[in-house]
Amino acid sequence: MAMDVIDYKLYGEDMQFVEIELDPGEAAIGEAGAMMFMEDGIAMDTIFGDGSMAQKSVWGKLLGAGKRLVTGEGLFTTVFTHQGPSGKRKVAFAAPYPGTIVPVNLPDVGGTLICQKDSFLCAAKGVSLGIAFQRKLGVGLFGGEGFIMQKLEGDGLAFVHAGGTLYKRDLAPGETLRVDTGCIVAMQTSVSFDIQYVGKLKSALFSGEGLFYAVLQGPGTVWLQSLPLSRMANRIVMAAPALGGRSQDQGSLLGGLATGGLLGGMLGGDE
Amino acid sequence: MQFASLVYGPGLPPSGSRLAVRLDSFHLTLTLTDNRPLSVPLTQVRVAVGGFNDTVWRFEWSDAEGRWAVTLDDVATQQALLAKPPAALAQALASVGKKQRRTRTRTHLGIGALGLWFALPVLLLIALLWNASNFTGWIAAKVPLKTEQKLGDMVWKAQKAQLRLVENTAANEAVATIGAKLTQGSRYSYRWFVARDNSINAFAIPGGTVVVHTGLIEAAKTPEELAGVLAHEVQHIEQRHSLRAMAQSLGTMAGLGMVFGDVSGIAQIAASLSQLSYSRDAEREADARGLAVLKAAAIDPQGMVRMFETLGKESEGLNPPAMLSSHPATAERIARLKTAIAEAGSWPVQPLALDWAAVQASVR
Repeated sequence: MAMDVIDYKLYGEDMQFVEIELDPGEAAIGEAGAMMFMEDGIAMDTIFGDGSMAQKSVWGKLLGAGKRLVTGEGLFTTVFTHQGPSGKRKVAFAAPYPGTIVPVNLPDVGGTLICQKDSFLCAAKGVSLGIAFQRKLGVGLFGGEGFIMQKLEGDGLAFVHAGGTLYKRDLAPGETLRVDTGCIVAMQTSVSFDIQYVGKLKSALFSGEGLFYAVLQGPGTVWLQSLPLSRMANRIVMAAPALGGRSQDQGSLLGGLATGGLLGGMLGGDE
Repeated sequence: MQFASLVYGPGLPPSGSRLAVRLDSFHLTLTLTDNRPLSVPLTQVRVAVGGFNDTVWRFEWSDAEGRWAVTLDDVATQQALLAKPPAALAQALASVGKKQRRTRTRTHLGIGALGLWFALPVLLLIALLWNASNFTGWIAAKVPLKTEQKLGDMVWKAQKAQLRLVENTAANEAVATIGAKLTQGSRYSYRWFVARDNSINAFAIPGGTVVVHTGLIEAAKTPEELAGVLAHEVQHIEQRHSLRAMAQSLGTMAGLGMVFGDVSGIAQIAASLSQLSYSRDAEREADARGLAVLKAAAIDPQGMVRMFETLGKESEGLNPPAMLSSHPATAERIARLKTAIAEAGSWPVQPLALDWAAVQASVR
């Protein structure tokens, strides 16, 4: 199936959106709710499944939709098609939380990309969204990405979004990189994904890095995020007085030590 | 053997480049982008399994420029290679295949174990509910008689206030006489009451209290019909049905809560449904055992059948669906009763010596 070749432009620094330029007849699929604006001549259509195979049977569509549900996407995808006779039209998709959008040209990575659940933003029509089930029990439990990851397949452009700054790292054959669990956004299928115990009980308990690292071994390209959303959410909750939290980062040493007490409240409070 | 796959190496794009790869008996040959062939003797090539989920084979070697890797993730090609490996790689490929199989087995085992872990509480709960009547019987048997009587007294005190009791009439005497016949040798000491109420009903309270509505006495054409109902009610007490129902409902709630967490709404519905089903079973048991008691007391069982027929006429058109009813459908009860009577055979019958017309007149 021929993919639609799309042109795009990224806006913003760390709260980005991507503007996609469509030629007549071209289409892009977007995660439900991700659309920010669209110009005249672009028609929005909601389809069941991911639109990669329009001729699929009902059962096949249901299965595809079920897979999408498991990977944290909606049951439906929206397709934005340029229906005008001529000229270029634009549609934009915005990231749902602070972070960066990375365009990945699927043919450049061998046609398949494994990515973090829920990280898909939009793609050229024809890119299929599947699931990559983590078969290694230990990795599924402690690797930080769970058992279900997303598999993007096709030969078009796909946009992936994750928190903080996204870092693309190329691993040479045999090169390994130890990564904090939860920071992996996407990888090529040739990259081995495993976990490794931090090695010392003392580190496991007090380093704050948890019990395991994720270990990635080349060859291949990986994308890492500097700030998983859950981590940021944690900090926000910790700092939200309404939820009984209080940021400890801004308190003085005294304030930090005596946060609970009256004095601590006065010293550490920044209200 | 020839295939196209992603190749990583010095001078190639970091995300790999799809190149044609040829494997013959002694060499692995790549055709680089500028049509320059690169050939490596298989003796220098190491085979490893890796990639996401261990699905990828890597052919790795090093030369002066750096490390190279050919990745092969196509399952069909992998199978073809396993079936007909180049001699120099036969051993390495076999061990790679073995490793992949091992990973797969481990995954299946792991998923099986995880599935079992999550299914276990549910299975236990199902087993528990399946055998609920055994368990509740066992629990009810543990409750001492005194506790049961205390409980019964409490219920009776609450009920008494809402009843208009009839005392010192021929009907009281008749109920007590028939009741005594039906409860010979019981460990409970029974108390018999008659309440003024036109509905055809009688009920039992744990610990040995039986209340008969005057409507029932008026509707009964013979003392045997009253005896049939009393035999049924007495069995509710003898079999401790109330205690077992309590155990059942509390147990269901607790079990569901333990397995599914706080689902009080659903648990309540499930518990009351299971209680209703229990209650239907209990009614059937009371019917069957009541019949046996009638036989022991030499009372005509046709009275019981006739009473049910009267009841059936009374409640015609009011029958709720079986699942939502506390009693089995009357037609079903009558059919069951008739079969049971036929199975038990006829027994010598002593007519109850009571002036029934006088009894009925005494509550009018």
